[in-house]
Amino acid sequence: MSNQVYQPEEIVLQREEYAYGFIIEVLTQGLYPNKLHVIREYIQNAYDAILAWRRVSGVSDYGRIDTKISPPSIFIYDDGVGMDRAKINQYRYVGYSEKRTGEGVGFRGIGKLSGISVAEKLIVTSSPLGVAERYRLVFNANEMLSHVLALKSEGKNIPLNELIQTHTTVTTDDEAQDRHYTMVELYNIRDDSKFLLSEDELRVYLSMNAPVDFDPEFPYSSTVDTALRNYVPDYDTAALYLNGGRLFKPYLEDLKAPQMDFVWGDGEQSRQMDDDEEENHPEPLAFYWYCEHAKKGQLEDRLRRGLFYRVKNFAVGTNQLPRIALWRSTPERSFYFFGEIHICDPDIVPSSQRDDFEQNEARERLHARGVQISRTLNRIAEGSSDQRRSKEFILEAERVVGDVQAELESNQIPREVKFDKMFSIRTAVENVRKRLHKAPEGFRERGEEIMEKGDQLIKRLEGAEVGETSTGIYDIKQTLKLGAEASRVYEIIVACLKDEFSDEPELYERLVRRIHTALEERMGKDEG
Amino acid sequence: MARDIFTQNKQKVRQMDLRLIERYFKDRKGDLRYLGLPASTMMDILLWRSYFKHFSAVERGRQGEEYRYQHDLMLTAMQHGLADRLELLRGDMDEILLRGRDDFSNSVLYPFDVVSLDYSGGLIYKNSSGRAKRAESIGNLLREQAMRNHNFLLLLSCNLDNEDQGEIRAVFSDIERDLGKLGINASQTIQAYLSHELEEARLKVYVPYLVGTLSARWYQCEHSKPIFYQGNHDTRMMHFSIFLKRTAEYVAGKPSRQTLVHILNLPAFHCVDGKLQETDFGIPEVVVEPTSQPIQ
Repeated sequence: MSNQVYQPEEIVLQREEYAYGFIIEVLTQGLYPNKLHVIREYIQNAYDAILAWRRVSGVSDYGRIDTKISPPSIFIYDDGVGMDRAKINQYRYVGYSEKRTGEGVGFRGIGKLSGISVAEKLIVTSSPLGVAERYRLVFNANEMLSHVLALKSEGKNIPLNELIQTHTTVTTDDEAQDRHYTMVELYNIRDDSKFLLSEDELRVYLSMNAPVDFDPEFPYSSTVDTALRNYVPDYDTAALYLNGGRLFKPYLEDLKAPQMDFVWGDGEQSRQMDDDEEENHPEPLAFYWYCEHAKKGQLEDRLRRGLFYRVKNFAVGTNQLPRIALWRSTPERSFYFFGEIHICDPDIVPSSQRDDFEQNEARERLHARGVQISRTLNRIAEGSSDQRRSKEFILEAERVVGDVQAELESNQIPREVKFDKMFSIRTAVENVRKRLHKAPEGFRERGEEIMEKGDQLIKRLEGAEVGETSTGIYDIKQTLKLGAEASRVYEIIVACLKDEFSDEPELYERLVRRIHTALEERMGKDEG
Repeated sequence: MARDIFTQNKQKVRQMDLRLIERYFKDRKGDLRYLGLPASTMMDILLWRSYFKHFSAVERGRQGEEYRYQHDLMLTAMQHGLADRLELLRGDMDEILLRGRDDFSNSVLYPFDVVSLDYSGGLIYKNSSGRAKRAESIGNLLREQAMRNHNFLLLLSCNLDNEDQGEIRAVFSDIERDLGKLGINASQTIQAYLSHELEEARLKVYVPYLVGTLSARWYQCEHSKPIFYQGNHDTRMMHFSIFLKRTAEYVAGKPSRQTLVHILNLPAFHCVDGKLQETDFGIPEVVVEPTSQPIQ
């Protein structure tokens, strides 16, 4: 390790340096508050290497990425295009990337070094096809950061070049000429990042964020995947394994069939889903698909419900990002759905932390035009809610009418509650009538049928002699052999009670029953 | 170049071991568990892979840059699609067996069906305090396996680079005395071993005796013919294959008369250019008279 330390004034005399060691600490430590994103960086690079190999080989479904947790390290291996000696050397260049925007997933040339923020060493071994050598870069992160911090405590600086040269090595070994791969080891994960060694944490994170295939168990996996391959220019997937287990995008249960559409920029003509002449249309801003919750309300899985942005099939942000950016009203309705918004416009670029998009015109355009997504989904949610309520009213009416009809046929309706029963039926039928046009298919006929049945039942009740010959409880005058005067008094009292408790028929009924019981007890006793 | 180079002799030894694995575990193909020192090229694992569902591979690495060979080992596993079956244990095998965990607290996941202790050094050495760490660690391995009532195949390779401070001679004296108590006169054979010009001849007896003694409390040993061969960098190597069969537990277990005689009389293979030749080193066999009776 070189002990030469430059003071800024000396450097001016020798050679101008524009970047100093502490930037490494800032770029790496400060880049990802969520350390899981560090793993995603290397998955991105592996994915890019596989895509590059697919372009070279012409094999479209080639390649796999293996992630292995072997404490204290995490390994990420891909059988992609591999790196030659020059590329391995360039791996040390901070902020250097030959990937153009839109080409590959990463492009800033910073994320590749993010491993030094979580591990003692970053070890990268790679071999390109056709070269009987493999190259290994070792980035001694702990030593380097200690060096920088030690200098900082003395108020000294070290040029970035010198720092990196001091703490990295590149070596060459023999390799079979036909092998092509890259393996990254995050060696000895630091204590503050030990949770990265949790297989469960990593599985959940990678399955939701990496460009993996839909779970074959997801009933709509094929439909959605086919649509994405047809309509999203950079959509692709790779086989990703974690400790030998294949990862798939998660899915939720109880979903309706998927719907999908484009989001277009201002003034662009809409391309229809079944339109094959794509060259006549501009590229859309985004393509989205969604499945609505088949049951009432929000989906339960808080982590996976809602919509997710994806760029080149990598997730950007969480399910809160579209919810906040696109829903101007009733944002809770976004969680009635499960789906994705795939960005097609190359000017819409994820931020370094990938928790949002870079603030630019393209993003604003997405936000402005993307409101159509929330409008569409809100409309659907509202329609479903209407349908559900309409269905509930029909079912309620069927229950009310059925119950009253049964009571009527077994002579169990007291004369005193006849009007209440009629009122219940009227209310239920009226509710159905108001919402029948929103009823789901198959329920409209049932709604019409129950309205007709209800009307007929009301007519029957109006003309029916109810209560006179029922169980005897209500024919109390005859049971107690009341005289004409007593019967008249009884009828007046009952009429007053009914009037008084017209809003509470159940209470009224209970009171009458109680009076009957008391009369029976007292008058029977008097007789005895 | 950091990769290990193995001679065709070593490959022959692995093929012989594969035969033993097939013989002892033919009904459990694909279900076995391995613990060993496969080196970063994992040649033994690659040859035997179809028999195993799990590999606990120990790699110490070179001092000061331990991570390099460990990284290479995982790279080999990744290249051959074996990473999901691999547990990489980092550190010195003796220490790991003694502590039950590696330098990063990863536990040794007993039991194992095949344990391959392919040491790059010798088997006999004691530290400054007289502690025979390697023998102790093998003892620990045997105890852990026995606690789980597990039969297993122990494959043991070492070179002749031992720090023998009279231990081998002491072992031969013990054997002679023990057999004498059992009514067997082995002095002619023992003398032939002790005066033999090749160290291999004595190790051929010493190593099985050591394993037999360490395991006698729990296991019965079935020794296959040892193989001696020229390794890389012209190192003289010896390889032992011992199948340990769990028996009832004896507090004061000792190798049996049959075992001791078998060890002394067991010929060895000399492997040259990948070909095996049987040899008895010109040492006369111990003859067990039918009248020889053990002293009760």
